[in-house]
Formats: sequence, C-alpha cells, structure tokens
Amino acid sequence: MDINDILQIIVSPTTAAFALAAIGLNFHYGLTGLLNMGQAGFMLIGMYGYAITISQGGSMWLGILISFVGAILFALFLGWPTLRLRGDYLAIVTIAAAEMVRLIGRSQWLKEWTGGNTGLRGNQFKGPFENLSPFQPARIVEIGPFSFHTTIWWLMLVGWVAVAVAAALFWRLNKSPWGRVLKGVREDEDAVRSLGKSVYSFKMQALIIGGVLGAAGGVIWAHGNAVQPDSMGRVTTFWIWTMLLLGGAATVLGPILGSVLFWAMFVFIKQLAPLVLPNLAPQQIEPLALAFVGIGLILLIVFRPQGILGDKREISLNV
Amino acid sequence: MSDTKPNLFEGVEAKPGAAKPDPIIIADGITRQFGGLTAVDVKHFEAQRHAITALIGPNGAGKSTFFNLLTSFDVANSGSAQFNAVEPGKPDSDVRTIDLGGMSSANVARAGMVRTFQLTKALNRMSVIENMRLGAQHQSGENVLNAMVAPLWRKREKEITEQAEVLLERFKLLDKQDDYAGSLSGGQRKLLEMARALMSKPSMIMLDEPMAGVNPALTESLLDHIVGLKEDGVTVLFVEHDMHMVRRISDWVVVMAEGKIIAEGDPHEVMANQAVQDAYLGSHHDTNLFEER
Amino acid sequence: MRNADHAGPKARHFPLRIALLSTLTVAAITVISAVPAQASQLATEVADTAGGTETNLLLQNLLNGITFGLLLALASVGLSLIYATTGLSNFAHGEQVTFGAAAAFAAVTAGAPILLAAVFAVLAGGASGWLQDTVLWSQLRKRRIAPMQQMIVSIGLALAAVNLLQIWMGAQRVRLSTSIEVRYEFGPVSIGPQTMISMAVCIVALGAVGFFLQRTRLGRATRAVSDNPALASATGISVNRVIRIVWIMSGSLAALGGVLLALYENTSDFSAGARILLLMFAAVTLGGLGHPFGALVGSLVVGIVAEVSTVFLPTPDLKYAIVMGMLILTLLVRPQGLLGRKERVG
Repeated sequence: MDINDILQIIVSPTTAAFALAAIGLNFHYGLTGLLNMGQAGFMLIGMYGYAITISQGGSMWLGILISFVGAILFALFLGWPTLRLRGDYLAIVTIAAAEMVRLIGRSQWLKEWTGGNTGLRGNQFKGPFENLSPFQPARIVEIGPFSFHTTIWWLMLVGWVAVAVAAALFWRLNKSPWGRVLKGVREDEDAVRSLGKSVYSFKMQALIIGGVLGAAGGVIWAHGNAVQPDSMGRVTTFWIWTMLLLGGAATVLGPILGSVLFWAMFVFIKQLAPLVLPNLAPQQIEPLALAFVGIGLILLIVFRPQGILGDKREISLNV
Repeated sequence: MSDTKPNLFEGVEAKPGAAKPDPIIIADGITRQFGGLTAVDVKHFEAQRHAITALIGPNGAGKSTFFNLLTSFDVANSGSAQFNAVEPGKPDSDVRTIDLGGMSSANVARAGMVRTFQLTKALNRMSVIENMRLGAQHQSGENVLNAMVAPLWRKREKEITEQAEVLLERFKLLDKQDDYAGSLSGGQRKLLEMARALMSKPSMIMLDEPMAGVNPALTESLLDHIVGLKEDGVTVLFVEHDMHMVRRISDWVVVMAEGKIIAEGDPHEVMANQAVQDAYLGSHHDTNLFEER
Repeated sequence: MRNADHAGPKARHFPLRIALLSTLTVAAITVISAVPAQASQLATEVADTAGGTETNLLLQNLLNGITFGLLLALASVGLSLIYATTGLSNFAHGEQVTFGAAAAFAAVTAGAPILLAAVFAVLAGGASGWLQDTVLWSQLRKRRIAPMQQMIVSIGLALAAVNLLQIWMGAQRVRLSTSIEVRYEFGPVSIGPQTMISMAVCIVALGAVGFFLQRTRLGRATRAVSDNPALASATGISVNRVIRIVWIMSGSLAALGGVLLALYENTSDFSAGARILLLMFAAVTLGGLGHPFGALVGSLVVGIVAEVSTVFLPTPDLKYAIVMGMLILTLLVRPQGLLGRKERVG
C-alpha cells in the first residue's frame, strides 16, 4: 500500500485533464440535459488539432486555436442534425461521431499527419510548451510527498489553473440569466420556447462551450501522455460520465471532485486487489479496477443520482 | 361580470368566421392532417383585441391543435395567420402586422403572443422566482458573452425581480418564491405558469385549459386573474371544457367540432344554438351542459 | 376477401418485403451450397469452366457484407426488441454478444463439440438475460427510473462486464474451432462451409424470430407492448412477463450471434462484442429504432456498406468510420429510420 501513489495521481495532469472534460460535460448534461456520449471525441479532436499543428511546424498558440476551432466545428456538426430531435438521438450521434474521429485518426489513410494507430509521440508536439516552463533548470523537484520532473510541475500548474478557470466559468454562467435559460431547457424545452427563447441556439452554445473544454482537457492529457487515438474510445467517455455523476452533476466542484475520486479509487483498488486476491494475475488487476468503476456507476445511478455534492431535489436524473 | 362588459362586439354577426372590428389575430384556411385524419380545418378566424374569447368544443374537436398551430408549436399543412401586435403602452392604432407563417414558437412569444399549456409546464427543479425571471424579455445576460460580466445584467435582473415579485404578490405566490416549482400544488403551478407568461408583458395570452386539474377553491381566484388580465389590456384566448366558467368570464365564444368552427357568438346565445348542442350531445349525451347554474 | 383486407397494411411493409426477398435469395444460395461435397465439387467445376479461379472483388465483398449483415442482424435484433418494449438503449448488449462467444469457448475448452458448445452458449445467454432482468432491470422499472438513467446503468454494466470478461478470457485472442477453413468457389465469389452454415443458422433464427413476432400470441403481445405499454397492460397483457421474455430472447440471440461471429472471424476476444456495439446501434437506428424488422434491414445495409466500401476507400480500415458517417447522415435526413413510422421524434 503506497499512499504516495494515490496522492500523485490526485494532482497529476491526467486528473486535471479529465476534470476539464468533466466540467465540459457538466455544461452539456448538468446544465442543459444534453446526452453527449462523445466527450472523448472532443478530447481527441482537441489533441489532434493541437499536436498536428505543432508537428507540422505551427506555433503552440496556433495549435490551441485550431484545437478549439476543431471542437467548435465538431459541436456544430453534431448539434446541427440532432439538437432538434429527441435526446437519445444526440447520444447515438455523439457516440458514433466520436468513434468516427477515432477510426479516422487511427487509420493508415492520414498516417502522415495523425501517425495512424500509434498516434503522435510526445517529442513531435510537446517542445514549444515545455520551452515556456519557468521552472529552470529542468530536473526532478520534490515538494512534500510529490516528486516530479519540472516539465510535469509546469504542466500540472497550467492544467490546474485551466481547471480553476473552467470551474469559475461554470460558476459564473450557471448563476447567470444564460444558465437559467439552459436549466429551463433541461426541465422542459417547450416551456422555454413558449417564453420566447430560441432553445436550439442555447443548446448549441452549451454544446460548443462544453466541447471546447473537452478539447482543452485533451490537450492537457496529450501533454501528460501522448496522442493515442485508442486511449480515447467510448470507454473514456463513460469514465467522464462516471466522474461527473460521482461528484454531482450541475454543481461547480462536482466534476473536479469526481475526477479526483475516480483516479484515486482506481489506484487504490489496483493496490488493494493483490492484497485481497493474491491469486490474481498482474494483468487482471487493471480490468478488475475498471469493473469496479462500472459497478460503481450502476450503484450511483440507482442509489445516489445526485452524486456527492448534488442536491437531490434539483437533479434527480429524469431528463 | 357581464354588466361591466364594454360591448366590443357590437354589430358583429354571430356566425362562424365572423369579422371583428379590431382583430388581433386573423387566420385563414388553416388545415392540419395527422395521417389521413383532418384535425383542424378552419376557414376563417378572428379574435377581438382586449376581449376574452373562449374556444370550446367536444373532445377531439381540434381546439388544442389549433392553439398549437397559432403559436407555432405545430406546423399547419396549409393556411396563413397574422398577428396584429401593439407594443405595450402604445395606442391601439399603432399596429404592427406580423405574419405567423413560418415563424418559430420562440419568435411568436417574443412578438407578444404567449401561451400556457394544458399539462402545466412549470419548470419543477427551478425555484418559483427563477421560473418567473425566465419569463422576462430583454435580459442581455441571456447572451453568453454578456453573462460572463455580471455588471452588464445586474440592473436588469433587479428590475425583473421586482416585476416578478409584484406579479407573485398578485397571484399569492410571493411567500413561495424560493421553493422549487415542483413542490407547488397543481393549481399553484397553473397560477405560476400564467404569472410567468405575464413577465414578458404580452399583448395576448393564450391559455390552454387553465382550469384543468385545479381544485375548486382555486378556480375562483383563477377566474378573477383572467378577468384582471383583460382589465390590464391583455387580450385573452382560452380553451376550456367547463361551460360554467366560459359563461362567467368570456365576451365571445367560438365553438369547434371535428376541426371546424361551427358557431360563434355571445356566450349565452351560442349555448342555445342547436348545432352546438348537437355537437356536444354527440359526446356528452347524458350530461346537461347548458343548464344555467 | 380476406386477402383484400390484408392488402392495406402489407403495402406499407414494402421495404420489409425487399429485405425478405433478399434474405430469401441468400437463403436459397446457402441451402443449395450447403449440400455437402458433391454439390461444391460441381460448383467448383462450374467455376472452372467459367474461366479461372479469379474472384470478383466487388461481388465477393457484397457476399461478405450480406454474411456480416446477417450476423449483425442476429446479434442486434435483441437490442431492437429491448428498445421497443422498454425504451432502453442497452449499451451492455455488446458484452452480451461476447458472453456468447466466451461461454462457447469455455464449453469447447472443456471438451464439448462445437455444436453442443453453441447450444450451451445460447442457453447461458438466455439465462443471463433472465438474471439481468430479474435482479436489475425489472427493479429499475419498479422504481420508475427513466430510460435515460437506465441507459447510464447499462453503460456501467457494460464497463463492468467487459472487464470481467477480460479477467475470465484473458487479453489474448481465442479460437472456437481449429479446423482450417476451405473455401469453395461459385463463379465470381468464394465462401467457406463454416460461413455457409453460419448464414443458414442466422436465417433460420431470424425466421423464427419473425414467426414468433407475427404468428404467435406471445409475439403479438410483444408487439403490442412496444406499440403502447399502457394500452397493452389495459388489455390484460402482462407487460413485465413480456419484457422478461424479451430479455431472455435478446440474451440468447446475442449469444448465438457471438458464437457465429467468432466462427466467422475465426477468432474472438473479450472485446469482440464491444467492437460491433456501435455497428449494432447503427443497424438498429438505420432500420428504425424499435421497429421489429428494422434491425434486419439496417444490419444488411450496415454489413454491405462496410464490406463493399473497402473496395472504394483509400484504406480499408476506414470501413466502420463510413458506417458511423452513414448513421449520422440517416438521422439527418430520416430520423425515424428506413422502416420507422413518420412520427414526431423532436
């Protein structure tokens, strides 16, 4: 049992990246009631837009811009046919479109840009960002229980600042007249329409904002790992859903708490499993931990749909 | 109420599709088919400004569908409709004619024609006051970029809240303003829905069965509120089953059956009309609908 | 005069007829070719006299597409039935398919012949459907948990199941049959006996489902429940019993689909069903969500498009991406699907 591993994963760029994606999903689902089942697709679009731009010689800022524009276009592409239809159509279209992005990304067709199924290696796109690091010289730095390389410290700083900004954005918009319209849409579209609001346009705005946050999460994730299309399959989307529902949909801090708890429990179960089940083969440990994620998701929906921070009265999940 | 009624309908012929002196809505040749069935087939319809017009008819007469068509919640197979809007506070002569064809339901509402629903659509997981605020127009904070900068919309939000409190007071919901709408009784939710519709200061309000599911203790105040709307200069068109209510508050009655308008006129006279009686008898042959109470 | 009475509703099922016709054509080919050795020898001779062993790429892919489409139909018909009767988009249906292959693999490993293993898989699949509905889905319905929430529950179930399957089967690929597939040639196309048998089984099973839905009391009750559960319940149909049977059917059909898929692909692993989950959703949506025969038509379209597209695509690994694109496009122009009634879906 190593408590340090759990602490390290809690502050890791991966946790920050997923917190960002979960805040994005909170705009979709928590605020607006949209069933986006393709958040991993937004993350993947974000990391491709960013990494391909840089690997083809563009600057980091251009990379971020293209990553966000990609997410906006993806949201328009998804929302255009489906936001007028019943909720489950959006679910099917988003999951299909996210899968399409992954399949095109991993295909040999555009290998020159996307790197095919092996994706893009870190040294193809991480340079410009790491060169901006104020923590020089590059070395391992230990602070309390945390021991990371300076590039990771730099990435964590940026990642968690981004999470804070996104949370503040959610807080501000949630309590604004704009957020009020979205909550109305979540409750009853026709009622909001009868009050003179263009429901379609509001839903599209929510889809775009949440999608851009997903793309930002993708960029952070790629920096902590690499661009790997197969790491962003639909299972990844399901994880993000688990995080959001665990922390509490429609709350400001829910997605962040959800991401932290998700990864902490994941590492915890991985550490605990060999102690409880000594016969388990090493390669069976990770699947076991993930199986618990699934069971946890079922229990959450059945027994505590509002999550840890949610208000039962406000968000009992009936969409 | 009938003795205080100013006669807006003087000289109007009591026949289907009668022309009115100052129509707020004019609809022509509206049809709507579902599969092979014709739900609505209205040749001509006018609603008089500043009056309370009741739309009655047996079940399945197409009243609600006609309502949905006028408010763009459904799309007609054919026909056209226009809305003669007058901005609040402007003289009635200052009419702006709006073609309702192809308009979105949101735009219809923004033009000043707001509706409620047969099955109340209170936004249950929002507080009563938030429900009310949502009804207001011209809140720049509903634009996502402005929303991020609170000073841009705080002032308007305060105005809206004050307006909402006045309305809630009038509808006796003020002490419930922080409760979730879902915790209100059915009748209170009807009142909330009506109050919320008034937040946009509409020139016309369309009530789809305002009395349905409301307990008798509340119907009186609901009726008073509807009459109150008219006194504020709002035109009311409502669908209702309860003939007693219709007779008490409406200035004019339009009767639909099988998708068509079969009669129009003064509430007391229309109910004596043989065609109307026949249409109703088809479905309610054992109830005495037209007996004066 | 009975015929005249039936002409009306039949005419509306025009696409269904086309689907049935094409299915029958495939069935005819299969039955003819399923007659063992002599027939195939004859066929080879015919092919030889027709000039060489070259197969036509396009026709070969079309045949592969039909085969894959039939497998997909068998696997996804349960998904469609569950959606129709309960409104649930079951994301754990892919694991139901894998479960079939895994159960058959376990039986084969224990020494059972493949036929017995397949029967065992179908029974185990049905049992898993029954068990799921008893301990989970019927409880959720009783608690009035909305279909959207149930969908998220099914996602949790899928996550749990796929990982438990991985622990059970391991991460490596497994084979149900070690026999080497011979391929017979028929004119421009070639096909293996295993595939032919699979197709025949698919057609028989799908035919049985069709017969069940159209001709049996219980089947008619099932259709009544999908049309209007409240009304069905009012007419004395036990909705929960129908749904329980649908879950059992869905589980066994998916398991059979999993076994045949493993034979068709000659291999299987813990994610075999998960890989085709979205294709099944595409098929079911394309055919018309909840339409009993939509899954068949949609599956054939998906199978054929996926396989034939490889002839034209820059790289064949894009074939499933094409299906996803087609799904999105369908929802754009015809959200009710190919066979769905034109109702308000917005």
